[in-house]
Amino acid sequence: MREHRVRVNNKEHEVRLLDMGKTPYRVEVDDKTYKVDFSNEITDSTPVLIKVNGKRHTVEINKFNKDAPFHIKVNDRLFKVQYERRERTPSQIMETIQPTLKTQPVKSIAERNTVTAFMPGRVVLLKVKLGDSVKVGDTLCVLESMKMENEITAPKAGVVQEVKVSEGLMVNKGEPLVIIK
Amino acid sequence: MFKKVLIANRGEIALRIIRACKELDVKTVAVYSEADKDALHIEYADECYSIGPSPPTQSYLNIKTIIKIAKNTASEAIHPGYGFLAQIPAFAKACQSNNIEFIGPSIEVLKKMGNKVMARKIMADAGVSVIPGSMDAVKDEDEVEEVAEKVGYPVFVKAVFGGGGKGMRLIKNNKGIPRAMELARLEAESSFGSPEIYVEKMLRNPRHIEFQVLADKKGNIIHLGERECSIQRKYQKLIEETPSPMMTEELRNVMGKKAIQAAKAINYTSVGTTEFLVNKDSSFCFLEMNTRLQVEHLITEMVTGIDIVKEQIKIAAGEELGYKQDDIMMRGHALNCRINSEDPYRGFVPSPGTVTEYRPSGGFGIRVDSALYSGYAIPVFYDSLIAKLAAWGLNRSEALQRMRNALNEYHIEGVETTIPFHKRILEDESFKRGDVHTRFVEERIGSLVIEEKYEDEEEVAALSAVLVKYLRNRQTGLAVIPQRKARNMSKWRMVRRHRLPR
Repeated sequence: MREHRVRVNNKEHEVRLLDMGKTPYRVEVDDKTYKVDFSNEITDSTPVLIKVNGKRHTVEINKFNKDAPFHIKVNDRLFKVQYERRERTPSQIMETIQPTLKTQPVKSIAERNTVTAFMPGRVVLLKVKLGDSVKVGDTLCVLESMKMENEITAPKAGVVQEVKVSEGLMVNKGEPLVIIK
Repeated sequence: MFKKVLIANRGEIALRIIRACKELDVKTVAVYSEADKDALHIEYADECYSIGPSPPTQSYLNIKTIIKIAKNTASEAIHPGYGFLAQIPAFAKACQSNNIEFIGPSIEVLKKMGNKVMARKIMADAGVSVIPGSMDAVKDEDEVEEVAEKVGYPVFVKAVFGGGGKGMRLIKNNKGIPRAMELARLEAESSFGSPEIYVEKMLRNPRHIEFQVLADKKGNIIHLGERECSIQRKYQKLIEETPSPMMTEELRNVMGKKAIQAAKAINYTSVGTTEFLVNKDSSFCFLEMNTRLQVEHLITEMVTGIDIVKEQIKIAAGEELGYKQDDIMMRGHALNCRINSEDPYRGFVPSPGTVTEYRPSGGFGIRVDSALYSGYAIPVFYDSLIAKLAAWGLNRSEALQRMRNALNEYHIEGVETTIPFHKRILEDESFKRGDVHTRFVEERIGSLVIEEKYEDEEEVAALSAVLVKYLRNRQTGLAVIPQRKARNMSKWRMVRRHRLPR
């Protein structure tokens, strides 16, 4: 079964390809079926002309990355797309057991209180300490990466409950920096 | 010619210099930091030596260690590349006192041009018009206001020892003076070690056009034409091209003569660049002189056929230029896209990390200067420039089309890059016409955004179908081989690919 799950701007869609090999293709998106015609074979990043139920669209895949979201331009509008192939091979069953970022629906309370690094880098300046009160937008620390300094600001008001890093420390993307409660 | 040259740099420019040395039959010594132990420049050089921890101040800026290695390896000269030690007078001085040739201009030139107010004075005295502003460093707010009133708002305050757009702030009216001064001073102090600032008028949407200059130690001095560098973001160049779409033969002659006049005023030797700001009416002012090999030198090489790095090394070794101004011909058109590991969809945040798949562009007229390879981890410690993609064509439209194709071909997976941003610029109608200025990116391109909403599901269907088919083609090798069903596969075969469940 050629069934696929595609996440477009964080909204999930089930896509099924029917009659593959014959043109026009029939494509099922969620519960609707469309007739799809390709004007040219699809190669990397080449704009593709496509007819959906007789209406023309230009589609361009800007970036492909197996795991990370990538970007597709439809008629000059950009979409962030994540792709999951749905085939029940042994390895993939294993994958579905492990919770991944994609399948986690709600962040836990602990996660919501944690400010994480949005890029890898070095903590060059730490502006808060345990017990400090912070307002939304207050600078918590400054991360340096590739000669560029970026401020990490408080996403919410509260009291600093824990500082996970120190000045000079290297952090990875997504690593917790400060916990605000 | 030198027998051995040490390259005090990393990344693509280190490779570029090593290649030039090999062509000149000069042995090369590479130096590397901890973070660079898997870097390509180590492999390409004849010898390589570790110079310390990853932060630049402890490795690529460590003058003592670099000089020591040069002496131990009997290197006769040091090429500093661009950035790092390329324009540091103390480094050129250290080379000199250890009898090592610094491949670049003299210590005097580095000092004079590194001080922007001194450079302005020298150029004004030599008859090269400079941007209206203060001729000395400014002391206080009153002085800034006085100059600003005289030349007219808006003005910039700029770091005296700055350059390349750092340590500068815009002032729109007198209310903005205190804050702009404070921020500029802070940035100047932290980036250049001096809080001194001066004032310059902000010209209205000028072009940034620079001239490549070549000067030997015998007094011969020529220029290799201009480069149009107006496509910038936050004063950092993104795309350079030559010739400039606005250039005429007459103006090139006039500006080229001024560029040479500027270089002569300071007895310039080696390769260098005189930068100008050009107004709509073709009047132009001196901006600054870059006393080093520049990132974008490659496009000039493509249209003139002159290997600028080889010339630079030959000049340092005392050789005379083998040609005159009249011998220089510009053939065709070339442009360069600076590809950075930054995410253009998220405000250009740095995106260091491991390149999981790498496939550079190719074909006639394409040049890729990069130190990337599949599996290479881009360190967080250094500049985000990861590749220079240049395209040459017989005319501008051919060069542009070649560049579009090359951007589509270029595959760097695992990190975000500015490739989508370049694609957007190359589609812009003003850019296509060559109608650009230094605020072009800010005014016409802005930043790339990901659409939050979509109108109809047909679009989703379209993109999904394309995507799915695209992936299918990819998996089956362009759909020639029939797709193998996973279910029919022996589970033992899967064991090889995925670890057994425990």
